[in-house]
Amino acid sequence: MHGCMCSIVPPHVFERILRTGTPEEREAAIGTLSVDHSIRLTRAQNAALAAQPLRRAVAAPGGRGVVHRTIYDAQNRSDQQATVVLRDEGQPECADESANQAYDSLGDTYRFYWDVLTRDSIDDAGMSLLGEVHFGRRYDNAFWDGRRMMFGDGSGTMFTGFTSAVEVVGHELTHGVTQNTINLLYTGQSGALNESISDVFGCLVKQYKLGQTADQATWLIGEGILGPAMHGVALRSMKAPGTAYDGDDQPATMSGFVNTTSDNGGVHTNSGIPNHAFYLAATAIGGNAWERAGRIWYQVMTLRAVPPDAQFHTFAQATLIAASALYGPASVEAKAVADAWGQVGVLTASQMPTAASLAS
Amino acid sequence: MSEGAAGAEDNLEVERSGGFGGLTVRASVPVAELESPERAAIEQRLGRAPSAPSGPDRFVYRFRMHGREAVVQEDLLPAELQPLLDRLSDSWS
Repeated sequence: MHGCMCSIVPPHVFERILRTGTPEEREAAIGTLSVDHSIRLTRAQNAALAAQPLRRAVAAPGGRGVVHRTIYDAQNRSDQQATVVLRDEGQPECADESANQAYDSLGDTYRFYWDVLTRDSIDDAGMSLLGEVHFGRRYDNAFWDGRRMMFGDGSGTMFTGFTSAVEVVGHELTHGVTQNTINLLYTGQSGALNESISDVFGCLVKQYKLGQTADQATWLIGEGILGPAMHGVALRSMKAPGTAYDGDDQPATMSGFVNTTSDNGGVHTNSGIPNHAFYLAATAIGGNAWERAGRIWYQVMTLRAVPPDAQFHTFAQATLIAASALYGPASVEAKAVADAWGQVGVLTASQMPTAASLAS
Repeated sequence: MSEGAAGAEDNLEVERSGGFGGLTVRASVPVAELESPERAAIEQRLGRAPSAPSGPDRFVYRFRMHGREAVVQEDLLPAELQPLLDRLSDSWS
């Protein structure tokens, strides 16, 4: 992926489109950057995924932009798919607090994706948002299983639950969005990018809900869910990786990159680096982080501009190209993105091959 | 926790990493205290190549015993090991 300009569009044509093209032409030009074997692989993988007998979306009544949620009770089991419905779309609050929280947070997440990015659910085709609460026994985790979002109750010592923090629900749902777009392999750097994207959009869901600008936001993941055994304010900090709790080992820059075989190659550790890059870009741009920084990151996903095994520098270059396409090569936004990846040590000057040509 | 460390022959070392929180926690139990189905289930997996990640935010378990290890994704854990993990649930550190 060295020099993402090496696409089927000659560089000078590409530059002209970026400078003078309509938004549609610019999107199309950016899309051509992905025309190589790796993107075909992604499409093949997605086709294979679509061919699986997954429980597909119940068509949302009323067309696009209508959320459909179902919250199930896992009844503390983890070995079978739950069938007991606690709350279905449109039903009033039920007696189960976790179910109501999951329902509301899924609604907040859906609303963010639709209002801000015009994405109609996980698959952009109105897929129903299915959640299971009370998954497992004292289960200290929440995860996306490819079809449903699963929420444990927490052990009470490390975690007190997972449904109360909207950024957790946004994080899990975003794993589904990633699966349906760039499908990043969940190991090593591509896995850390997968994690980071979930943290980024989880944070943006929360900021959008609260109406917070980049400067006002806490940039914390997992606020208010830590139990007494955990000493800290959250699980991760995008603003200051490594400071969220006692024992937080996230690096903020490449100099702290952790090589480990645990956690599928440290995917929740090294995500601190792209997390911090997004924070730096968003705060340098200013205003609401979802409006421009978020759009740039989302553009890379929705145009499938990186392959599933993308490394940090590949993703960084793709965001730089997306920023240039959306806002212009000499824009505040493009500069903020380039500076951000430079500050975290992912892109050096020589690894920004497009900057000079984009700036013409 | 390197292989062959003092006491490694006597204890089963269990590491749980991953999950949404990305917290790596560990626990240890004397091999002699394992139920025989538990011990058999672990021994059967020692030295095998780890499977691919099962999905985002799933736990990953690593078992070390007799100087060898097994890495098992949460959803691929044999049912025989669930009682062991239940016993360890309050001793993670």
